Amino acid sequence: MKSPPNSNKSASGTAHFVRRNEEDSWLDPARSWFQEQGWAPFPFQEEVWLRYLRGQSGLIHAATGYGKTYAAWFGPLLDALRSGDTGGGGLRVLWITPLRALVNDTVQALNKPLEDLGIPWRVERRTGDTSSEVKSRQRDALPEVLVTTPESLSLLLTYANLRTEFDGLQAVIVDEWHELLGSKRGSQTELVLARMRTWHPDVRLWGVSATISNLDEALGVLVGSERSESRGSQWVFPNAAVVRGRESKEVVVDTLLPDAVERFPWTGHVGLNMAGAVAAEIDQAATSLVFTNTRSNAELWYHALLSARPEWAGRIAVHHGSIDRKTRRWIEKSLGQGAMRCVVCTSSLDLGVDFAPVERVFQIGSPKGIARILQRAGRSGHQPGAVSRITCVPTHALEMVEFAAARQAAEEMRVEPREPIGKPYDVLVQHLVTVAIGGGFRPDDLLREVRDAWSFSDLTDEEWEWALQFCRTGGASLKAYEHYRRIVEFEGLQVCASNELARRHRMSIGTISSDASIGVYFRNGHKLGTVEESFVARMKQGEVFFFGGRVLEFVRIREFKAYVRPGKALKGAVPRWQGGRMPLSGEMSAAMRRMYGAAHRGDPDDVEMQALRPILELQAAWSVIPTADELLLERVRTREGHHLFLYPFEGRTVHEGLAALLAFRMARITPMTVSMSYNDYGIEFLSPEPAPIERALQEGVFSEENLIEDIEASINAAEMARRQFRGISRVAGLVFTGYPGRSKGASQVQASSSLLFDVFMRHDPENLLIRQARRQVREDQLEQKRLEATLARIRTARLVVVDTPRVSPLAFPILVDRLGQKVSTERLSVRIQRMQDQLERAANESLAGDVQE
Amino acid sequence: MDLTDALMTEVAGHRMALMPERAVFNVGSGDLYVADLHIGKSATFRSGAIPIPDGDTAGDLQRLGQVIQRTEARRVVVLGDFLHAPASHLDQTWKQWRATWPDLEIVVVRGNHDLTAGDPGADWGVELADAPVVSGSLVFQHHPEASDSGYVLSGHLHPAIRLRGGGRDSILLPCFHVGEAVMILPAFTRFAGGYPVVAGKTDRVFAIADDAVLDVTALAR
Repeated sequence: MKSPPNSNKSASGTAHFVRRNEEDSWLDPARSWFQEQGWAPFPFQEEVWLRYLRGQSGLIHAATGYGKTYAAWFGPLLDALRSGDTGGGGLRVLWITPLRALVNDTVQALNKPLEDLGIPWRVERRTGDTSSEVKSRQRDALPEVLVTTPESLSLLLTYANLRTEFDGLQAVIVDEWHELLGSKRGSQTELVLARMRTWHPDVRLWGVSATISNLDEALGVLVGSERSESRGSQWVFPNAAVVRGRESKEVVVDTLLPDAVERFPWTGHVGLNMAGAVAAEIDQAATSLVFTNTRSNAELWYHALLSARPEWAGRIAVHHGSIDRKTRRWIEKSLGQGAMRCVVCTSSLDLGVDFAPVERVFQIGSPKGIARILQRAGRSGHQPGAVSRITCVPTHALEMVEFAAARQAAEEMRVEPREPIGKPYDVLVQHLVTVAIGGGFRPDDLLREVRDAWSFSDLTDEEWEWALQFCRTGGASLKAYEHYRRIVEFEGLQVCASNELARRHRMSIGTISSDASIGVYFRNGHKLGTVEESFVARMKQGEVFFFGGRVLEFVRIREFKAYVRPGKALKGAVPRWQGGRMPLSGEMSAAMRRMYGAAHRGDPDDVEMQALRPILELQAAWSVIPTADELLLERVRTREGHHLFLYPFEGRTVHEGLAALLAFRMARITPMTVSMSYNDYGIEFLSPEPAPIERALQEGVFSEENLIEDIEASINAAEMARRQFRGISRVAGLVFTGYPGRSKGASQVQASSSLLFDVFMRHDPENLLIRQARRQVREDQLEQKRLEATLARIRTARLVVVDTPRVSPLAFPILVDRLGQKVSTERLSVRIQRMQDQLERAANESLAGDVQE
Repeated sequence: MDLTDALMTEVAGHRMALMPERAVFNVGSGDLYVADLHIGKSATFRSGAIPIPDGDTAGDLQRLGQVIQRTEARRVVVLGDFLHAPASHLDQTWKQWRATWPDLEIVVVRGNHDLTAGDPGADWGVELADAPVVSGSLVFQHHPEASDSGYVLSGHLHPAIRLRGGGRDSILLPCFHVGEAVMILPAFTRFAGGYPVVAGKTDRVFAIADDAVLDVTALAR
């Protein structure tokens, strides 16, 4: 695999790295320790160590399993040896990991060389699971090395007496930095890092990241805006660098081809007809991981594989975020020991320690993004000399285009960026209270520090003033909230108003993750895991569903516990929890358009595209296959009415916004009733009269003029903002959950976020938290930037309008998706079967006709 | 008397006007019934360090004034949860509002929130009573439980009904829930969530949609 385009001036090897003798000798203890283990340091590891010893910061990018941890860890160790550190006196190294699951293994790995090297450091963990005994010991004195999560670290900052324990801090290391980027947890971490830089202006910051396309920016976010200089579109770091590790081992992306492809594919399947073939592949490997995109699909696949191979019972498991943590740990342990034949999982196993026994990885359905497919492939092939292989399993035929496209993009290393988010006010408000509790602050000093955090580098004075006032008096200065205070001034410092408030705040730190969840229990009290509240709320007594590989019957819900009992065999569909489906990434969309372009020219030799020939030929016969710089529009009339299909291939989120926008703008030309639907590939408009598309095109239906106004007018923006406000109100401390021994007083100040949203809309609609909710709708939910880019691309694209005789193969899945929202599952499958049969007959006739001509 | 937009119906032999202001007017007796005012709820939040803008109590009282004016009610009966919590005593809005209605009689039947909040002082100008309060064939109490003493008018549950449009479009509306032995009024305050009603076979349900009161009995069963 080729190396990524290198926009940073940092060395990507050590060939030109000039070493001075003295510096070089600093590394000797590491080299000999590595030798004792039978290893040799990689050049990139030595580069990191040297840079660390020179006092620099940086971002380490290397494939999993290639010594990233020791690349980051030996810098501090060598420094300790050089300075003759005898231990004691508080924290030296803070190690942050986004995943609680990684903490134990990290502690183990960090401990390994300590004794051999004779460094008297203690490595301890601190997470939400840490016992209160250990926590209170740590509150008195911290160990030299602390492994923790962003939430637990924020919590530590609320203990004012700990400040002195941070006096000897030398380095902060953030593992899986890419995971935190672009999230509110990332912003929270940035604020903590900025605080560390204030306390120790020369603290070294090192991050470890998987493959993303904006590594330079990721480094900037890590070291902060004061240590980054912008030069044009580039970032320059006077005292930090991206260090690229050993290139990842070879990755193979292939596809498990179905025996026959349906010419009229639909997305209602979950590909279970492939279960037998997948089982046969799993037979050939010692251990396999099977990735699905949703938790309910993981449950379905687990059952399908188990019924294909009943003898695997006990050596096949299902692993996802809802399963009880203890069970998950057990599965992971068994995986590592090679005791598992196969684990069906979701993104829950994307990250984490390597499971050496894993030989094969399967991806059920679309991988949605290039980075994800590489990440998942990397979970296999840790045996010496092995390659990482991911085998994609289509759940409907057109997904094979995605697989071929993903392979090509992966070969060209066209991975997605992780964009940092801008100014989440809720996180800022939470941080202000955190710092107020942890000893207080002077506003001017804290403002400088907050702006050093990348997310808040462009925070305006007005926004800062608002956040401060929001914590002190409530609203903006003219609209002070009576009887309210969270922060008060005391001897020149802004401090927390009460101990009760501090206690509540500590409880609510770390509730940045979104949905409220409810435990699933047997009636004897045995806990099986958790599900989203919204899922349980829809359940009726006696309803049967899959969970954790079991068939369960819902009994009742009481006091935030859902009680179940073992159910009998399941008929019908599995209810889907965690409904949100992930959209295609921008890179994935572009790769797909290129792949269709290649199909248009008739030259892709990928096996997937060969297998798809019956579909592609029919598409070309009834319509056209669009090239990468064309936008295809198809018009067709059925008994339902007039359909207009568009294929931007931009993913469902962009299509949702685009569909609403186009419908709104067409209705301005001719008032009409139109229903819209969309999938990852395209959009459908259905109306009793033909949509006025020609006139709409002439009048600039794809224009970016008044874009935001038109979008907000075309969707239920208020309803979407209300949903976003749910998370915001929790982070900003307006609602709080999980209050052990909840007193009467607490229940009097509990209201749903939806109710609070209404109150704010009525009496303080310009509140920045409300504005943030609206912004999140635009930026996160509707992907405004991508929508604008899509409109710009379409304006320069060649529009191809085709009147098709029947619904084309590309259109069919959209049509069926729409029906899925109306009709019950069982009758739907019968109806679709009938439609497929009709179209098949028509296809046979028309293609036969072609031959005769 | 201006009963525009009210829905006239009979409850336990009394002619009642279901008012879109979230109140019930007994045309025969001149009584106006309201439930769950939760005065000072947002003040309670603020004194608990949760920043909520003010305005709901004032808005609620303005609406109360409006419905009193329209019905020319002689007496207001509050069916419990007049105050929200102890911090409600901080709220000055009520006293100012009360001064504009010097001749009006106001009876508060204590609800569960009133018990924790503590009684308002004499300067609040309300007459306090423990449930049940029997008045002819009617019984006023906070909790919706049937009574031997007569037909019960109550609150407590904040009844609401979910109406569904196409697709994901749905809306939760406050409603009057009229049963055989008990009637439950919607929460008068707008700063309260709604809990979906479960309507029995002979129950009637009336939803409040902005300025209109609609019979939605058919949708509730």
